[in-house]
Amino acid sequence: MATAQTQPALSAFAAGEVHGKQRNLWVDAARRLSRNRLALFGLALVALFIVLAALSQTPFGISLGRYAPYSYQNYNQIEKAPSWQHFFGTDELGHDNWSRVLIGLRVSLGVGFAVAAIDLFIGLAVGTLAALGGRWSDNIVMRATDVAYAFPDLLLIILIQATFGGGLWQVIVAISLVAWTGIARLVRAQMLSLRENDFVMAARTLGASQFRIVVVHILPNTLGPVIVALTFAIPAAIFAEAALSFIGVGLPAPTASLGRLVNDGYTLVNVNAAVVIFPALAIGLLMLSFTFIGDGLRDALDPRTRGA
Amino acid sequence: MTGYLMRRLFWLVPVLFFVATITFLLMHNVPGGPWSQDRPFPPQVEANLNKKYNLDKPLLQQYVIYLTDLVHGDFGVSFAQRGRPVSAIIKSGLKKTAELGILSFLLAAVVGLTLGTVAAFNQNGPLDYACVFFATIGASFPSFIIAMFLILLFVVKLHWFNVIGFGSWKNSVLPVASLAFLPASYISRITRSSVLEVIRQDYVRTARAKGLAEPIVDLRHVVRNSLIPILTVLGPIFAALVSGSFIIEFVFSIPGIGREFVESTFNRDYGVIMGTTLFYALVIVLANLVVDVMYAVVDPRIRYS
Repeated sequence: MATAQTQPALSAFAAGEVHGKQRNLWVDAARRLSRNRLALFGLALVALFIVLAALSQTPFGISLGRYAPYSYQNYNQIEKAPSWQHFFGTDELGHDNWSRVLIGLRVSLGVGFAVAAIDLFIGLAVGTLAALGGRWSDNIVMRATDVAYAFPDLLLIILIQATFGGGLWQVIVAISLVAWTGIARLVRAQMLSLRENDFVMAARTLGASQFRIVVVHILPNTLGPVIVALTFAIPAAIFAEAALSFIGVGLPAPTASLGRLVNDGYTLVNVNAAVVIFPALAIGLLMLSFTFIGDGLRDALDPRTRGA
Repeated sequence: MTGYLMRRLFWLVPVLFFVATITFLLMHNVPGGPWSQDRPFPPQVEANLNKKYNLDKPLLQQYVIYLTDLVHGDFGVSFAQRGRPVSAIIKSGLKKTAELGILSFLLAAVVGLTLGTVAAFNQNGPLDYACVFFATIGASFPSFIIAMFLILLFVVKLHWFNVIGFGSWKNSVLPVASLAFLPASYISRITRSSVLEVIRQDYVRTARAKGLAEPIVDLRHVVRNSLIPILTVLGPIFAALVSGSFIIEFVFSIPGIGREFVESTFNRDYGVIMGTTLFYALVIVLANLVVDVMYAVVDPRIRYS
């Protein structure tokens, strides 16, 4: 009898016991991502940058940076062009530009990932609250993001940072406080449309609890677009930090962030262009590779573009 | 439509009020005051200055005074620029910022639309790849990096332009170009995908089937209909150009509003911080409103009530 067979299967489905051989979205997406050459290129570049940043200065014998980024100064080698001693040349104080760019990479990557993590946390919490918390909380949250939208991003970051003071964490917090609204709006919009979907209704009909519906059925389905948005949030944060440091309001003086290196070299660009070019290229390549990854992820995670 | 416009314009008031409140609280929490400097004033002078500008009063009272003045159209004065009215500072800065913003907006729109359309009509051809390459580079290199490379090439190597000054048209070329790079590539990306979508529509096939000339189909049926998604990004792009130009103003030493803002946060010049932030907020909100109205104008299916 057909009904006798479907009945236990249905209740097993409701209890979340059936996983079987369904085509998993993530496996599917990973396969499509691996076929995207630009995305792979971006991933490889980011991996390379992470390795370079991680091994730039280590307490063990081998450091890729070769020289101490802050304390090493060679007054006989000032404003030199790239050479075997100094891959990226030296600046006006005899610092080794290669080791400073590597440290700058570490700062930029750190800011990018930290901001993305904080944004994910705030954005998911606030977006869920707005979408599922009822009309009042939705109204309050949406009006709050309206106000946040009206602020010019970078200028608000400057203001927040001036309030908190200028350490690395203050910069990260300032950027995060400005950047979360995009993720929150996205999560809310996703959840509002998912809530009306048939599979949610099916789960509800089968007796799944509200908590289970949110955690098992709605949340995982919002993750695709959120991950894509996060991949674009990382280069945005890297850009914000670099821009702020570039105009001299970002990280405080000795920190060799990429933006600050560009700014330092910019004043003497007539003398030695190498000091500017390498950190500038590093910022560009960093943002480029995250853009490639983001584009690839968006195509891979959106089932509607399948086969396109 | 009129009712919708009125409601949106009315909504401006609370948004600006909250922007003003948040900015006011933030800037008064910034350590130091407008008179903190390397060589401080004698205490008596500072006390008198504080009294003149109401800085000796409790914060809440200062806030009420500021808002009352604001409602009467008085933006206050700058402390760092010897009592020059903030409205005058914004007015003189706006000239430069608007010139820079509008020129690069036009450049970005023209370049972006052209490249995107050309790319879409030559999908997967060499022209397409060239346009996509340009768009990817433009989208990932920040404006100040672009500015840096332009300066290296055209100022340091070729000696075509000067970096300093903003008098003749020659001085605006590099700032406008570096500011327009990112939005141009962004617009070209969106134009490309939008045109590609429209090209496959049934009504385009119908237009061709009834024997219309190819240029007419391309212009009237394809390009015009693909403008809708592009309009949505033009508003935020315009707002970003006006409010984000301060980095380019910094690189090329242009005395625009952005530079006034950055300097005012350094100097804790309260009046200028408030004035410039509120001005930016107004531009952003209005830009978004214009976009929403444009939607309805371009796409008759959209009706606001």
